[in-house]
Amino acid sequence: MKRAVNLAALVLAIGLLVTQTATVSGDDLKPVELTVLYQSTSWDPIRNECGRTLTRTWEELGITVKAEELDYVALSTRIMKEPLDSFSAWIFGLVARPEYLDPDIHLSQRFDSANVGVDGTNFSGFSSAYLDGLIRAQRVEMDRDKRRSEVWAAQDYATQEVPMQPLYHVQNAQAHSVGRFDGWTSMIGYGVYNVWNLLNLTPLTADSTVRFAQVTDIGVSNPLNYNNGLTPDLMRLVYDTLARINTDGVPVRSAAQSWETVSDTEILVHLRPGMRFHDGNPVTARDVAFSYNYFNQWKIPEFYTVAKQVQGVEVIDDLTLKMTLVQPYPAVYQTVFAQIYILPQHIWDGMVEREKLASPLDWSCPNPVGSGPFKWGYWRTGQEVYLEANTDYYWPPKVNFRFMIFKNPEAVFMAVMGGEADFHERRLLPEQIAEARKNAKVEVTIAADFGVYYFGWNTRVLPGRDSLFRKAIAYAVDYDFIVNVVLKGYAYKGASFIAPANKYWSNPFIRLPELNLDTARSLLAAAGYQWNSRGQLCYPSEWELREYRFGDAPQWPGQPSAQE
Amino acid sequence: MRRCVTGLITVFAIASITFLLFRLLPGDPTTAMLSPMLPPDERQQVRAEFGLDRPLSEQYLFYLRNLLRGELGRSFARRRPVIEILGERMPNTLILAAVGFGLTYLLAIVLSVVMIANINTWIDSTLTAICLLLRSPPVFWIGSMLITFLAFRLRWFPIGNMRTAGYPETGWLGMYCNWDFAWHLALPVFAVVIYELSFPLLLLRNAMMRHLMSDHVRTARAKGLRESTILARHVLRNSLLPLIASASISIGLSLGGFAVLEFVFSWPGLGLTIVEGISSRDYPVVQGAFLLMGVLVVLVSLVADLLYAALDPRITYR
Amino acid sequence: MAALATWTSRSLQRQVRVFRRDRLGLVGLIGLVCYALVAILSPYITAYGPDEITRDSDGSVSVTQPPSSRHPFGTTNMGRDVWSGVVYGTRTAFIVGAVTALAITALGTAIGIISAFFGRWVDELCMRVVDICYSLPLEPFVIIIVSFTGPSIWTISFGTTLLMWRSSARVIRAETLSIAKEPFVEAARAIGASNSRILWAHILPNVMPISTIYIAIGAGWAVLVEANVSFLGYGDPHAISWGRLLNQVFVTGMMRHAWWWVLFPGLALMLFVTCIFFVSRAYERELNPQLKEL
Repeated sequence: MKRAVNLAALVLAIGLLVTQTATVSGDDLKPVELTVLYQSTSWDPIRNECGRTLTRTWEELGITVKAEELDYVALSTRIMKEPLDSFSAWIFGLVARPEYLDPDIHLSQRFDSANVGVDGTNFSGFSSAYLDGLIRAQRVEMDRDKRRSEVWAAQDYATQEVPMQPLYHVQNAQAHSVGRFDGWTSMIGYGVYNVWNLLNLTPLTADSTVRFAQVTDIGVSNPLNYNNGLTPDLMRLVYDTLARINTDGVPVRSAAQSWETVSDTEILVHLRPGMRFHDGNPVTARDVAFSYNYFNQWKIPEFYTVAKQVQGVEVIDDLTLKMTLVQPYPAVYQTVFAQIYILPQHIWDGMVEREKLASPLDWSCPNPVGSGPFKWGYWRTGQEVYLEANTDYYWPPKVNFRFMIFKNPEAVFMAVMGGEADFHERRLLPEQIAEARKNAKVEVTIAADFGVYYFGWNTRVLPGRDSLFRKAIAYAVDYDFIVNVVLKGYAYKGASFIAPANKYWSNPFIRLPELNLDTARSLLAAAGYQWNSRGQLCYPSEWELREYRFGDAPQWPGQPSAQE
Repeated sequence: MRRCVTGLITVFAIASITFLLFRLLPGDPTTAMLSPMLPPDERQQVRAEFGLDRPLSEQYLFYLRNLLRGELGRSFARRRPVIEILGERMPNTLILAAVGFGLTYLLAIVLSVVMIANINTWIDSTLTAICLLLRSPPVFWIGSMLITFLAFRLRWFPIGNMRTAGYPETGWLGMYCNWDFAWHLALPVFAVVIYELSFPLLLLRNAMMRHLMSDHVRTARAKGLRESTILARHVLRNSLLPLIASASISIGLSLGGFAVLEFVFSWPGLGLTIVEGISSRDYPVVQGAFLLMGVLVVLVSLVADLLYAALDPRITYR
Repeated sequence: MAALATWTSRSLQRQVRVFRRDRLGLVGLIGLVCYALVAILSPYITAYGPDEITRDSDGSVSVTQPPSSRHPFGTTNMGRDVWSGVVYGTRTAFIVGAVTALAITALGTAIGIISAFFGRWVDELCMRVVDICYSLPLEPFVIIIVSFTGPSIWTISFGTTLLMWRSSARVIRAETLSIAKEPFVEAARAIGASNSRILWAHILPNVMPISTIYIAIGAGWAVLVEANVSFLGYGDPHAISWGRLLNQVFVTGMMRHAWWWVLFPGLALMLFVTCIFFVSRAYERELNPQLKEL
């Protein structure tokens, strides 16, 4: 009897063992498949190659990759609109604009969980209470050093969790003509297409019109319309703002002569006397108050994100006003003061009713009147925009500005090379830099750019949802290839969302790993991933993919999470 | 007269097809007229204007009624009525097509006479082979080659656009009637001619060859008329007929290629409008431009048919 | 069955006759055969894959190199072998050409025959539809379709077919009309043969040869349309095609420097289409000297 029981027990044990191994090594493993979206060749050949590089490396690891090449509209729609789970990863970029020098924009837009959802800017869907706490703390922190430590901690955490991984930071190379103008001034994030350049240029020949070549037309001459990246840059020449960001990225006074903080949320602003709009009317504090309220009242897209920080503007006298903020906001000069235009009240007040429109965005605004350094000349749609120097401006420009439209980027480049245009905005491609250098008629300027080009994981779906997967794949990016072959050396390896060129705010201690497929494989294996008989990477069994790998454990102010 | 009626029917059909085409958009069928970026009150307005919340059949009626009024919607990107934008762009394509094709046909006539005069010699066969060769590369390749060599390397021509920026003239006449415009027009026209030459040329050559063998011509020769008179009066005149007949077809075929040509030369015409519109998802503009191109082709074929009837007294339309 | 056999043997005889007469046609045919061989033997005549990043002996990527013994057509700005790209592009060209051409011919022949055979309002309707198809611009139409469905060689072929069947339909119709008047058809009808029998047994076999012209022409057009569409950036990103190679060289600004990257794909395209035109012209001259339509 006892022997029978022992035998039965033995058989049972062996049977269990066999079935266990059978289920573990059996082929009901689920292979890892992901869909990656990246730029089509026509949109950006560089990011297209990055996408292909990533696909190649991931396929080497055994991942089944479905690559989709999309154009700008298609890609934005996919990552912003329903359904938000049709992709696993995507490549995008954050262009460097001086407003973004303040770290709040990048941190909150990309990482704050409040921005997750349809039309939200947190495309990754990443939600971490710890990171949220850090981001919200730094936004209102008035002590600059304390704020920096919070910003650094946020970057550190983002680098560890890698919901999005920076690929590269470019060197912004542009070409401009030689011998026609003097005083070319480059600006951080903009290169030579910036207002200071136009204010500094002096003509060396009889022709005092500086010609700028670009692919996209402005769309509408309405300053409230932000439909492509170039319209606000042009409008900033026609309209003035309280402050402007100087070539080093620091906000300096423009329409405002001085300001002083009355309290944490109140600022007293004194306007520069003697300012006039292009039609002769004087610029007063009433116009400023009207403008700020107008942007808030109509919730003008893009501008509203910063305008809503202003609770109200009170007119003290013709040249003085008091601005009240919703909460303490150290970035106010950089973002709000530098972006919100001063609209002439006598033109915009009641315009919507007069023209019988639904919103001021509908107004075609045929002759924009502002108080900026350049007056609106004319606009031949699809061909050119001409701006005249405003000699009444406090810093009168010595040149007129012609904005010319060519229909494809090759034509723009050829125009500058051939002397039909003086400068351009778009970054030169690595191959074009070499050609431009050999051309005696142009000079090439290269400046470190603080934009970030990255690929991100959709953390709402597997595999991006698994933080251990993301951390393993961080070792599967061929940075050397991207920087040296795709960008021909005119770039830096991706470091952080606050680019290294943004010296004060960027955390210099964080490092993304180099390409090491062996490490990637061992990390994947340690996380429970396996390879099936066909060499495909497969997910760990259900019991391994536990919740702790998806969420984040600590509450801010935090303890290090369980994984570290 | 009957031709006009058929023409109208064709236009109507084109309009309907355009309507259907753009309603087949995946996703929300109103995306064709309603930019997703519009604020809600504006959406209501456009909805009402185009009847977008009604069933498809009613939308169709709205669409037709709006067409007759010249209302093609508003461009998403530019916030201007589509018809204004098309009005600006259309003359540019028309001029390019008119000058391009005009020159092509002239050249075809001249060269075909040359070929006939040297028939069955090496001139003839080389020209034929070159013709077919010229038809083969895609039109953008021809355009890019021209720009690279003649415009960029040699600087004989500008690299694109319609006028040098900053031209002082205002008004329609000022813009088109001067040397700067002609200088900018040269390369695109050159590309059109190179590309389009082969078919009319071969057509004329074949037609003239057949006529040379016909009784008609033999009689004339017997009468003692000079060879050149025979060529001019009989052969050429009769050969023009099939040329005109095929003109509408070949122009229609080529108009599609204008999209690429205008892209390469930065020429602001209808084709480029379509390409730009599609890349920015500006559907009202694309819809309008597409419709307009179709209408243009119908008009051209109508003109060609009328010309044919005028030249050939034998044809009468029932 | 018997009809098919007779048609095949008759057509083979015809083929030989066609090409013996027209030298250019022969040249075209030989050219096409060469292309076909290249397409079939692609993996054997290329040292690298078409998308492969090639490296020099020192391990660095062979970026933008002019033609050499290792890379007979040079390399692209990313070190891809242009020769491989052109060779594998032949496959795409044949696929696009063949698929579209067959679809065009099938559709055009069907509509042409139906239109002519059933006459009256059917004829009128079909011819109106052909007129409409002639009026719609081809490349914009294909681009619009592609922007809805996403770019792939199948959608491009689909879009092209939707409009290009127009040329064959008219001619097939004319041909059917003339065949329908032939005595043997009258005889068949007198015997009491049904419409479908007449269609299949008598009209179709006689119309087939003309259709073959349009297979050739359609293939040529299809390849050109694909090249145009790819150049504008709406081509299939996963297919190696000549148009796509040209789009890449244009977009990366290398057009004026890497002449090899522009010349060879362009030449491949040009010669391919030229061969097709030569062949189709030879057919045309053989089958119907009256036909003026190219």
